[in-house]
Amino acid sequence: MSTIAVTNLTKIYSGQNAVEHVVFDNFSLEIQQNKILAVVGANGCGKTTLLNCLAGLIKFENGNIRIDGKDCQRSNVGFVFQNYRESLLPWLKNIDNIVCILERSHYSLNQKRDYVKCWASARNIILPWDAYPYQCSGGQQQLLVLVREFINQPRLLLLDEPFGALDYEKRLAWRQQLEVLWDKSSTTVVIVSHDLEEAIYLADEVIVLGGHPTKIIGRHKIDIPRPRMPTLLQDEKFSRLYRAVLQSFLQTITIV
Amino acid sequence: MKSNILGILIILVIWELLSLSVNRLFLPSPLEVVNNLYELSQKSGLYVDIWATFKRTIIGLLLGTVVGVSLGTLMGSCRPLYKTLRLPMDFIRSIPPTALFPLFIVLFGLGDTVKIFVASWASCLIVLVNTLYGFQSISNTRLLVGKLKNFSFFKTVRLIILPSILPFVTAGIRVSLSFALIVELVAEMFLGSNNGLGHRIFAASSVLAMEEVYVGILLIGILGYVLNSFLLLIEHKFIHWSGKI
Repeated sequence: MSTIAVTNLTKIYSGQNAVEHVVFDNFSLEIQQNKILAVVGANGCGKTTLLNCLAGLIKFENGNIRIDGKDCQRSNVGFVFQNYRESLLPWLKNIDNIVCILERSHYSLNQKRDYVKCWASARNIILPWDAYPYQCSGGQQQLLVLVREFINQPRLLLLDEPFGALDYEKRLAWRQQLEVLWDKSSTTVVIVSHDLEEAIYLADEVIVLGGHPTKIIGRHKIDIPRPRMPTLLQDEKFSRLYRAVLQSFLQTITIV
Repeated sequence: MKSNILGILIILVIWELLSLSVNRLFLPSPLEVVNNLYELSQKSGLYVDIWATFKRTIIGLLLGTVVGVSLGTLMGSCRPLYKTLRLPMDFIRSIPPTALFPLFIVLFGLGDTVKIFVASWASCLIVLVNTLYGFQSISNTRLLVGKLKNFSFFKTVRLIILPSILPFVTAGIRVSLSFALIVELVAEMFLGSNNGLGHRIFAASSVLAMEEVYVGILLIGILGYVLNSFLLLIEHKFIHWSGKI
């Protein structure tokens, strides 16, 4: 059963000199509920455009995107930006960065703060709640962003090449954080990545986008059991999947 | 603290040495100046002058800030208005306020009004430009977060726009303060004043009372320093995220 459906999406950017750039032409995609979908593809293949359409941040010419049968603008969608640090509010304490977006209007301020702290400790998340984001490490900031996006239990969470600038060790850590938070939720996750390894490690399915206008070049089911551990990267099965995804990815480059 | 005292001592020593090597008339020794300061502090005239300069500068700064922030907000949030007014604004900004003094005299006469006006004129332009910078520096990502989280207009202003521009506005106010003091002093010297530190410095120099000239210079320096420190203190206390965005 699919609850997130992109049907006949058409998106055209009109650039300078009235040159039209057709990104999507009758593009359709079904995203399975409560799964993690990774979207990979070469630069400029429309990955981020797809996310922005899903988030309702940009308008599109034709087609529709429905989440639980509703228009995407009306739905509860989470979004983790590429520059996660800039998406936090440095004038608010960590706790209030979460509280200010918490959808529990009947709660008092203190009740909201308590709720956030309980919610986090139930997931073994420890953060310096009374510090300001700029006083925290990069790792704590990314965790804060993940908590902020998961706490309202969105139906759909979109991640746009998140934390790409982190070092390898920190990226391994955040993959696990994402998996833990996602496991306790009923959220469907779509993650755009330029890192094939990351995409396969996290996702239940990887789709490779490419071509002009954008089409799905390859779909790969990743049937590796969860929770997934970094040692998984050494498995022969992982390597096989990696080779398959890489093959699709290389095709997109030749198409361009 | 130790290094501050050392710094002051070094200045005093250099001053003392210089005053020994040049004509005493042009540069009295620090001790003579402090002596003169003590004598003058026994009379009420000095306090009148300090108060007059302080009052005009602060009122001018406040008025200039209110007008500057208002205009900056209008221009910062309305793109066509910004495009239209950018050139005139940059032109007016390039004119030293002192060049406009004759015009200001014609408009406002020689009373207190003109002396408050020059300070507010100078600070308004700086605060205006800084407010504009503030608006331009609002992070697009943060605005998108507000949009995605369905922030109301009021909540967006309170949680995203206002805190983003505040560090720029306060920095503008601090820069304006020293600028306002400069034009205030010049105004008191040349725009027919009968009080204020600028007036005192100018009047004392015309009768070659050099100790008193240096007393005036010292006091205006202290006034500027204290006001600037006060503003910095407020900035650090209430706008802790300044420079950390």
